[in-house]
Amino acid sequence: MVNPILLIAVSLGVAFLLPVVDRLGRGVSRTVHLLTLAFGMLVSFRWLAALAAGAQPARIITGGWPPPLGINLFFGPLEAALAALAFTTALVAALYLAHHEQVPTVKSLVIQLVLVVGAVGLIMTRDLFNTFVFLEITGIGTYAILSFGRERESLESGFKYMALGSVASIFILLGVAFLYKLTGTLNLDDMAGRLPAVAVAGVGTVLLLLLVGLMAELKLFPLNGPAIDIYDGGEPGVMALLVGTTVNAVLFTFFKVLSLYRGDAWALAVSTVGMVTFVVANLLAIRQTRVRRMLGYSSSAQLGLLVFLLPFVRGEVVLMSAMALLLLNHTLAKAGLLWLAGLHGGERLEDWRGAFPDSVALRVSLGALILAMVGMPPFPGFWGKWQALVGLARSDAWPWIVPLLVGSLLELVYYFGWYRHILEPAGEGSRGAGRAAFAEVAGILLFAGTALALGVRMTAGIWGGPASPALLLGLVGLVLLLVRAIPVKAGAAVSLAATAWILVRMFLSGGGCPLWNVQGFFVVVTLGGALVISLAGLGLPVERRSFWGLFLILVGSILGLITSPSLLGFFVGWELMTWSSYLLVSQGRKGTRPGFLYMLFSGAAGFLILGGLMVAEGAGVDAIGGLVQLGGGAALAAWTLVAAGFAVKVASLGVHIWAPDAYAESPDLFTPFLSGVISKIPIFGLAVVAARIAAPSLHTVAGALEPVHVLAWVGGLTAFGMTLLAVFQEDAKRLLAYSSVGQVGYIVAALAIMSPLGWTAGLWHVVNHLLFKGLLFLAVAGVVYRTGTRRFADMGGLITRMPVSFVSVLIGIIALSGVPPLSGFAGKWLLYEALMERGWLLLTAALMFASVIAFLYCFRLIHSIFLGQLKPEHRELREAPPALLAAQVLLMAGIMVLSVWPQALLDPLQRLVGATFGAAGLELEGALTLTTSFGYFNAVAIMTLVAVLFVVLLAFLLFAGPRSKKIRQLDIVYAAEVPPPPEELHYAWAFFKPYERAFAPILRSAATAFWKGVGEVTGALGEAGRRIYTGDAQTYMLYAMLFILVLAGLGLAG
Amino acid sequence: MPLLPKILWSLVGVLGALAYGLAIGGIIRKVMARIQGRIGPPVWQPYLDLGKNLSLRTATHHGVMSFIAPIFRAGGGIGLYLLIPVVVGVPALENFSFSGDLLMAMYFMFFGSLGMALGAAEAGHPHSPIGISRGLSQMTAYELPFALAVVALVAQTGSFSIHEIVAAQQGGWLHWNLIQNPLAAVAAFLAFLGMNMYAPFNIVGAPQEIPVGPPTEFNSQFLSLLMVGRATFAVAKMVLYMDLFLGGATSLPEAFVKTFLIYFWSVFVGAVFPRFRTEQAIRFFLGWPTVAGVAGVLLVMLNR
Amino acid sequence: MMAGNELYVGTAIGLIVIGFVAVLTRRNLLKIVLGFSIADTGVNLLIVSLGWLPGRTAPIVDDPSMFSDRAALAVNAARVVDPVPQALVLTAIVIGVGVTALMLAYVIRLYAVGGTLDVRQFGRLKW
Repeated sequence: MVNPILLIAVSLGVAFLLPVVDRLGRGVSRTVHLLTLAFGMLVSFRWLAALAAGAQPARIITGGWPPPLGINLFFGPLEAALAALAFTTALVAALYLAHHEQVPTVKSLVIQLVLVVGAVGLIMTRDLFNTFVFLEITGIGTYAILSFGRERESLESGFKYMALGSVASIFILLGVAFLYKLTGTLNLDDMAGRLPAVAVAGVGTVLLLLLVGLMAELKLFPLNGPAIDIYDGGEPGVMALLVGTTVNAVLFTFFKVLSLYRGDAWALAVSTVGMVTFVVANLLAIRQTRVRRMLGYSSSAQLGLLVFLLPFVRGEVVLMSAMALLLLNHTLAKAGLLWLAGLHGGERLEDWRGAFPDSVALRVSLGALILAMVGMPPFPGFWGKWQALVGLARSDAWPWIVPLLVGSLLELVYYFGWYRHILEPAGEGSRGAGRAAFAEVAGILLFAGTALALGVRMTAGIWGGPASPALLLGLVGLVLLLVRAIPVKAGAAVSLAATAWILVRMFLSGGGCPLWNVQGFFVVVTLGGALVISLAGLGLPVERRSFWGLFLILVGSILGLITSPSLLGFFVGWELMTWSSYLLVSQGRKGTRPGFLYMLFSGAAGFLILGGLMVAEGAGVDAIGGLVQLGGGAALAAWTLVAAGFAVKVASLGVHIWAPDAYAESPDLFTPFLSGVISKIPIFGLAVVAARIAAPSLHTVAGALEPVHVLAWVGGLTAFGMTLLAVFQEDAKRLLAYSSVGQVGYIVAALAIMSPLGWTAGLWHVVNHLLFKGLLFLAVAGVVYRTGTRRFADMGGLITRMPVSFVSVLIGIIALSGVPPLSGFAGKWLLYEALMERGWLLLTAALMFASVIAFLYCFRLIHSIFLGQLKPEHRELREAPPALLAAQVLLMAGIMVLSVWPQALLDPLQRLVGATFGAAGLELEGALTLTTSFGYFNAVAIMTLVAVLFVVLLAFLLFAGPRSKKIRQLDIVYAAEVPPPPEELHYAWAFFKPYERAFAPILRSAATAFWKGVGEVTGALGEAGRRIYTGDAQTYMLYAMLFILVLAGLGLAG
Repeated sequence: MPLLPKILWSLVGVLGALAYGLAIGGIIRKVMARIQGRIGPPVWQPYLDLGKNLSLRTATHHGVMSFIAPIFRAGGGIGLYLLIPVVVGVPALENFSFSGDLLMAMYFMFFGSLGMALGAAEAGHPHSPIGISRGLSQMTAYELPFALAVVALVAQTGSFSIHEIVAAQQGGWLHWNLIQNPLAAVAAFLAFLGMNMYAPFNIVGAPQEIPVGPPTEFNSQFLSLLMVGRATFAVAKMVLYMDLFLGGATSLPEAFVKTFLIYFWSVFVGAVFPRFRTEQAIRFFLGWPTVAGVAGVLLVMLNR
Repeated sequence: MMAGNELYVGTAIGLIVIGFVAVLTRRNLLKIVLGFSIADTGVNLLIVSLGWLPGRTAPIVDDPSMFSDRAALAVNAARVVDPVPQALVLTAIVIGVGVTALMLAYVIRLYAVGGTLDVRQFGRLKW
């Protein structure tokens, strides 16, 4: 094996020789430069492999003097990994810079090598003074490479960075010298051993000097001003180089030096500074308008997070692997994003509108790296964060989880604020990759690919291998996403085939009906929904090529979520679902803004759930099945957090503001899935995660309050509020959106009853809602496709043009409203019986009221679109595409089966709830009458009654009285006047105005104003906070000195 | 009781209800006319109207939904009637009430409204949807006190079965829910005013501004079927109220007396009060009737 | 703390303070660079004085034959001051020179693009 010291020696030697070699030609020197870096990369990777296989770490002694007298180096697995990362980044960065600099100078090549040398030296050395020297080398290298910038901004930021760096190095040097004086050694390990014995006043001050010096090098708050400036002013390619080399090296140095800091006070100080940096930098980033500056804030935040974790890694509270994953993730994602920023050149967020329309690979990479950056699965950062959180949750340090999640949420705000622009449809100003050389994009593709490959591997590990349907669907989706050659319609066909195949396999595989357990039930619901959407997709075109790829990833992630037995597996699927559905929502014509809001609220929901899961992890539970063991306060906390998360995700009243726009502006093909399936996943969460947690009742003055009772009211009020708001919508999809949220409110209330009958009602409604809302959204999609509008006032009288769609909507609204004889009634009946059984009387009445209000919007929907006067421009309209109608027929068939023979679904549900509760709650009297302890209902008899009445009365109409004649559109009784044109006759705008007037006092939406206020306050905080970065070099240096005083004042110096 | 006789008896019951419903309609027109100082039409005028409509020489329609509306409307009335036991304990008059409980009856009430709304809207006459908008708005509003009253009664009885509710009220008028839960009864009887759409809740068909409201575009047999629906629906509602609050009936004469009284409650009010605008009607129902309903439910909760 | 070197320590701290004050208050870039130099000098002096022991000589072995004689080495070691701080300072001075040179290079280029030496004019990137 090559001696690791050669990593330093060879690079340094080449750096010195390079100006000479350059005489032979620039090509030669560049080749030598690349070869040197490749050599370093190769050696480090070989060492890494050897160490992983169990080889002994290398201990290198210099100058023949053993430690503590001589300088010694150490090369273990961590060192090898960091060196490998540094050389890899440097190599790819060199390729990028070679193509990107106007004139690749030999100076630049030399400095690049110096930076790598400094970094690798820092990583390997165990000597404190040597550390100082390498810090200075990296510092000088950084200042020098920044000074190459042509622009004034680059120079300014470089100078500021250098000024603060010089102050920091004075602190460090003083600290090192005094430490030597106190301990008589410079060897780190030796010093750590001797330091506790030193009982001289002033040790604290000395340690503080060193600490603050290193914190300044690490760009921690409030010393991060210049560091953020160099992101802003510097060349992105250079910044990428720094991220992969010196930044990681300084962080590792900090980790090594922390061995000197014994005692909880130091650990607390370091963690606090790290966490404050994480939260504050993320907060200040949300008002940034310049991409590179925003990335600077993000880097500062990420370093803060890593520094926060260091003491916990030292204390073995948090696994080293968490740290390693987070660091790797940050390097890959940040370097990749910086290269992309350099390639694109867009300075402001808006400049990124529809970025890289010409390259699928770059667009996917950009998305992947942003998702990696914010810690979304499957990327390494997600796993790192999870491990870190679990470590914290299982220790006394659990309160840190709160700011960590808050900071992570803020991170979502600005990254998705940026991504939002990228997702806009490509337009005139969209910049592409143009004719970028492969060398320029190589690093981006390598890093994004690595992050993705690692992520897929880890996901496969948690979801039971690559053969699991969930992963398979995801991978097929990825292929669809990446291969431009596959036509869009083929995507729909692939999706149809894949979902149908899995569904059929499930039913044929034996082991009973899949509906017999909750997991199987929801898998069938998901796949059924996906199947119908895919079928409809054969008829209804989508606007974006990536639709089907993302759709399959989404379906796969839902399957993974449902079938995974562990909390981690559940959450992986949850977050994958969140971002894939976000991307699909954003594909709508005006979808990016609603998509952004969707992502924020979904992200918040995710973090609430994560918090709840962490309470469970803290109690040592890591399987969903183990949640039953939770008790007492832990159970209450876990339940509350998890239930709150699910409540946000179902858009409960008060947090509903994201839903209407997200539903309305999604692609027309996606909305039914969003409403029919995705809104049911929180329901699955309630049934499987929340329901397992035995949250104790709260004792209030009014007696014991069951947490589920609160949840039931949340569901009930959501049902009422959303139904009411749906009545006043002027847009077909928005109306259905409100309706969807309201309907899910019923399901929440039903599940919260926590009785066999309540669950039967809830799960029945899950299926029924999927059927009728899918039907309504698909029918409306067809109408929108033909008419090009969603506004009620612009439609009317379409019954003659689109009769099948009309029938769809008719069946849909009857099933929705609960009018017998269709399937909706059984759902209402089960729900009310269950509520009465539970004794929640007022809630029963409230839900009855809500369900009557639903009539108003149901009628409005069908009337405004299909009845009334046909517009002249719609006289030639055609019916929706056949495949879309086929999907609707499928759904109608489902509704009819449930209506005529409810036992088809009730029987499996009986078994399902029986397994959960040990009782069924519903019985069959005779062959056909369903009974509960409160009432009875015979679907077959009712259906027969209705059918007989229908036939008899129809016969009456046809045969009693004169033969009736159909008259023309405008032949109406118009008081002897000529009727005005159809546009004026169609009563569709402000349809329920009196109703609006009557409800005016409660309609003023406090929710929207409240959340807007939250957004504004957060934004204002960010705006005010970032003013501390005045841009003045001297202010920044002053901060460094004040920072020492503050920390000393807090007692750290003593 | 075997199925065939049951069907025949039900048919008789429906025809009887139709006759009774039409007659009551005539009586009310007469009463109203006298109050207003007019002579008014004869009591049997609704029968004449029905006959006239069926013997017109022409009939027109606007499409499929023109057929659906009268069918749903009449079906809703007849169906509702068939789901409620008229005289509990007499199988011939219990109809098909064992096919569904009170919830079924409540939801069947919407069947007619929905069908009517659909059919009326297809005609394309703006007056129809305006009337429907008003009618549905008012319907949702009175449904809240009604639902509260039903919840109170059901909780009190421990069953959604109308049979059980009637059975629980046997043993003298003091056992009637009217007395047992007066608050729920107040809520329900105020809601009843809205259901019947007489003044002050008659803006739905407000003759002065939107002639006839929803049925504007219907004629001949279509209109007669709507009349059938209205008549049977009215009877069914009265029977339901009788079963819920007045202890049901043990014989037909008792049923006639009780339902007649129930109906005249809305006639009395209608004769005295002027018409509400839609939003006023809604606010009315969401006010005191709802308070009474909530109080009625709380009463039950406290008594348990 | 250490007898006899209060003068040096005091001077060193004084230099550091002067340097920092210059760095924080002077607006001229050249004066700021100068401030850093003064502070650096102070730091170096401080480090050397840390290793200084009264009455001892420089840690230089002038007779090569001593390396073979461990006893003589030990005697010599007792007569000289601690050599490590001096070695540190030597390195630190070299680094300091490099940093100062680089800073001056920055000043030149900043003057070239900005036409001024006022540090307040170079705060365009902020917030």
